[in-house]
Amino acid sequence: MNMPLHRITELILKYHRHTLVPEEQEELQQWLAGSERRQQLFIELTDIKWLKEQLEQQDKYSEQKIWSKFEALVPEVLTSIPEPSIPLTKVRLLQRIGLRWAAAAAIFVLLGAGMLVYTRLHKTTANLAIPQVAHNILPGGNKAVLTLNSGQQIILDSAPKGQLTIQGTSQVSKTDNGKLSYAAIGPATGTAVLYNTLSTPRGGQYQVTLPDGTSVWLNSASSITFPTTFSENERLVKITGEAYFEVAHIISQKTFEKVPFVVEAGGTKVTVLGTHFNVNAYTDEDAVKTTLIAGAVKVSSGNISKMIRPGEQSRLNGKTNSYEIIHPDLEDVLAWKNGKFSFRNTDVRAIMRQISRWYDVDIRYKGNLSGIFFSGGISRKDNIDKLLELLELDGRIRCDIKGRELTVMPNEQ
Amino acid sequence: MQEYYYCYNNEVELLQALKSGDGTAVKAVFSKYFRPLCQYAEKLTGRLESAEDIVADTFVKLWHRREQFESLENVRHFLYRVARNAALNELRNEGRHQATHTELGNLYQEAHFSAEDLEEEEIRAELLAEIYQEVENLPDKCREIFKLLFFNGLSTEEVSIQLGIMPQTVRNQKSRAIQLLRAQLLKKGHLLAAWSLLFLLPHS
Repeated sequence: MNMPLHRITELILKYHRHTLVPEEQEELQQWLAGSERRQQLFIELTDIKWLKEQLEQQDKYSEQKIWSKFEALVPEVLTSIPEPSIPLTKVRLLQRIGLRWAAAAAIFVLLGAGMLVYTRLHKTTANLAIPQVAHNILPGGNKAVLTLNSGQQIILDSAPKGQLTIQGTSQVSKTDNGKLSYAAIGPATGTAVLYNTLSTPRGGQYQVTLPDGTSVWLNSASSITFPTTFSENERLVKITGEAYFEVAHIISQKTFEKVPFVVEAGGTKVTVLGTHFNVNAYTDEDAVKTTLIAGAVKVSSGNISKMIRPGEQSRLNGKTNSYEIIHPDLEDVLAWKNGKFSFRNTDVRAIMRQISRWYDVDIRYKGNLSGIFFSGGISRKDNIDKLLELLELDGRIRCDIKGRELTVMPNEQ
Repeated sequence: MQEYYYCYNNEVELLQALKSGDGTAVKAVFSKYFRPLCQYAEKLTGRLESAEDIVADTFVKLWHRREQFESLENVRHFLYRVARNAALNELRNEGRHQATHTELGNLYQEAHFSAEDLEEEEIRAELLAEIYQEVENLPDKCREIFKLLFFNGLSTEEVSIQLGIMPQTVRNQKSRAIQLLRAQLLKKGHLLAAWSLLFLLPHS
């Protein structure tokens, strides 16, 4: 059913005010039945805490400031004299784009042109210098080990599809598309809590559906520890490395409240009610980074906490002992989950850390590599050569591979 | 949503005024839509400053085409479409500018937002602006107290200290705010209004 957006807004608003008449209730129900996504959105928009957070933010939109910008662009509005509108002059266009952007664009064009010339000149000699050795380092794939409560380990990449084992009241199986899946096969009452751990090596990744229906994507060199049956009042899991969550929304049968889902990662606790987010807690990265895609989450560490909104990323700043919020490019953050590397002004060392984890290579640095940043993206399915070739393309760095050791150095020529 | 005509009596009058190039009519439309549009553009671009520029530009376009609108719904639709295109354009251009390699740059051409994402953002923005406006419409003192209690989560005592007034005054203003919000809703024809936000107020 296609309903105009403003009607949906109106219905949700009426829901807030408790003024829905039965026909409208039916209308809203039908719209919600249309997709799971709509239900997710509804849960978010009717979450009072979320609403409160959002309303606090509204003050930053200044009517006066934006109106002034508008007036500056259309001075005739002030006097309201009906006269033919003047076409925008070039100067005004520049003002509109913002001098800052114009300058940035100009610098970029200059740099870009310079780089092309430089690369061309450089290529002829550089090609000779690169040894023609087949590296044959393949990309990572779906590899993981499941450690049961007893300590027994199951190597998932080679395990057969179908039921693997029973843990407490959960049936553990490997699905046809190679995911790990937990499904409740009996009431959870009175059984002891068992913990399982799913871990990926360097060059591995894996997907698991937890007993509550929550989906987790585990990046390489990462792990997640979870109970095989969640308790009624809290769902607690621990991760290392990086994981993306799509948390199932669960209502407690006892209290009829939403059961929080808590992720513990390197000193940061992320508390959510049903939402999509990414946690990057690699110990070799500068901070635990939590990025919210949809819904609402609270991050906390010790006695400090912060609510984050969709599109925001929180990083725990150790010096000020507070959470900093940035707005990263979500495509970059989720690139790994979507089978890509995606960089945006990313430091060469940060790129190398990702390469190390995905291609299972050790990195060595030779010389000064500070101030070298890259932007761009490539599939994670490509061999390492292709990625390194692209990084070497503009002549700033050189990469040498021997065995599983990758040496990165500035290009001195 | 449809009950907003500023100093005009009805939708037709407002649109008439807009058509004739009346600055007040633009301001009326601006006052209603700048906030949700700003939030919408900020969500898409990730930057407040760009969002402000986009919204200002969007109203420039509205101004130049002011004669073509037949309803306020028409206007609303136009505003979101223009703001959305501007935001997506900016994202695309940014992708191009930042990519060092043309080959890699293509990746950023892919849309960052699906049609559903965009719709959701629009709903979010509209809903919040609507609720925000109702709080804004409270009388000054009342609003200040309501905001401290509600947005900043201060207790009655803290508000009374901060504003240098008696706790009883705070309590009075609070119940006045509640009454006014209810009355506003009634005025708009929402019978049996029970403002769920009020449950958020600290008990005191």
